[in-house]
Amino acid sequence: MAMTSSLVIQTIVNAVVLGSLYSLMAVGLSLCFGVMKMANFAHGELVMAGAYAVYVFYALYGVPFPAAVLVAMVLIGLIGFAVNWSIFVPTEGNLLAGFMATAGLSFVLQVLAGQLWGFGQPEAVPTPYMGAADVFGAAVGWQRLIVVPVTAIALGLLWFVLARTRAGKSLRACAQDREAAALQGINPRRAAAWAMAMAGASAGLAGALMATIFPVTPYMGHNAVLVAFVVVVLGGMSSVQGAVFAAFILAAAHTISSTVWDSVIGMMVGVGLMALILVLRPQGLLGRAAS
Amino acid sequence: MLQVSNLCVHYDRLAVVRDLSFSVDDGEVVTLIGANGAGKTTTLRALSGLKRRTSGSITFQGQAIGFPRAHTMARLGMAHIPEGRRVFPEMSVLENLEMGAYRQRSSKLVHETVEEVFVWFPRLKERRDQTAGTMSGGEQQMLAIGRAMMSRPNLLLMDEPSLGLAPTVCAEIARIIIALKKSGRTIVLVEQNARMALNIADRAYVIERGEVSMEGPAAELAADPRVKRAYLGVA
Repeated sequence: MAMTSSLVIQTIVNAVVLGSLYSLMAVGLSLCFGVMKMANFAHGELVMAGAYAVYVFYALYGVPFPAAVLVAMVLIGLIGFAVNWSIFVPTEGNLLAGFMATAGLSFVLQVLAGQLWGFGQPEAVPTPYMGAADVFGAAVGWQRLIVVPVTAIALGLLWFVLARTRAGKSLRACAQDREAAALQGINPRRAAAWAMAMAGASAGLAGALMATIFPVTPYMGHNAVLVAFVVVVLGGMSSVQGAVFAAFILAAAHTISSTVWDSVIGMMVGVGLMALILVLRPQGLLGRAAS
Repeated sequence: MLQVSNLCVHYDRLAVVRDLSFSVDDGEVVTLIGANGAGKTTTLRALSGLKRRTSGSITFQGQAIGFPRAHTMARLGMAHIPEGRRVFPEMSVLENLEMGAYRQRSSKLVHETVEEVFVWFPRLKERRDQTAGTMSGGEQQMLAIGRAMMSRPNLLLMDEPSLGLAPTVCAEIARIIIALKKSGRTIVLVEQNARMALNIADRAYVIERGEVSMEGPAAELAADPRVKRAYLGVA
């Protein structure tokens, strides 16, 4: 099969758009892994909740799309905060309890979304940005294209907070050595609360941007959490840069294999990649080997 | 400065520290020496709030200490330099120092303190932008001490600062601790290297199985035949 140049460009653009969404899904999960050494199995449902927030505020109530996206971020950030307070604080240091509680929460949120807005047909969210841009001869919908700069801004902001601010540095300190951080006067529980709020906001943003591109259903978190875990394992647990890097690699693998074969094989390739990395380089692509 | 009375600490049901009492006066360097597993590290962890004590009382700067968590204890003016240095491996030297002054919101004061620490440790100044995890053990120990000094603490708890260091580096660390002592700082030094600790300290406590077995001026203990036999490797 001869791939035309426009198909090649289309594939690259799709991979970049998908990679952006994957980064947003994964950075929060990796942040929580780092700061709390806990996995949030309801992370995908935070993405789903972000999509429903846009559906409700933008599609149902007619709030302008950018405002609806911001509302989604704040709202899901608050949910993240609440998850920390209600699950991660009480189960501190108990990995299994945290796993069970967040896995349970993911079902609760799915059923809740289904009860509120229905399990059947996916919600249709109209496209706020009609038309397509011409990217080197390939037509790419504005709706997809807008994902890339928005993600770049969000990740840039996250980088700035983590690298330059006192609060962000204290999160990194907790992720690198929780006890040593506490000995400097940093409250690890407060760091965890901020990490979960930021995880919620980034997951909410991912869902909000997905709402107009993908079908909005109570179960859309399944795929999101799987992607987020694969990305975090690929990139090295608790390495935010690693997660972003791995998100684009996984997106490229998904897009290429879905273009050549189909999306189920695309997902298999992604999980296969994760298994391969776990065997060959358990610390992840950019992760540091445990000393 | 510090009074510890009848301290007991358990890990699960196992008593690691039992009925341990000692005190530290202002400007004094007190060492706790003893074999591996005697309960020295656990004692320090109980003091700084990393480990909750089972019973016993702690009075710090005339104030009875309840059961605060570690970050609150750090705010009271006690700086714990943990065993194994525990610098933030993926942060730069400068960032590590900044974290030491986490409670200080004035960046001007933080900057001034960084410069003071650099006077103590010129090596850290040379390496200010280096990632801490890539430095040698001796440099990491200097960074751990510098980080603790950033909070301008009234009491320094040092856990095995010589652990895993080459003899020449050990000697360098010992010189630093002596210099800190001369500058009037109050230090609790926990060491397996009893020879080094007894050389530096004013007073010493020998810990055996979680209890104080001997105490006294460091020079006296260093001359005691039992200490010589058990801890200084002299027959």
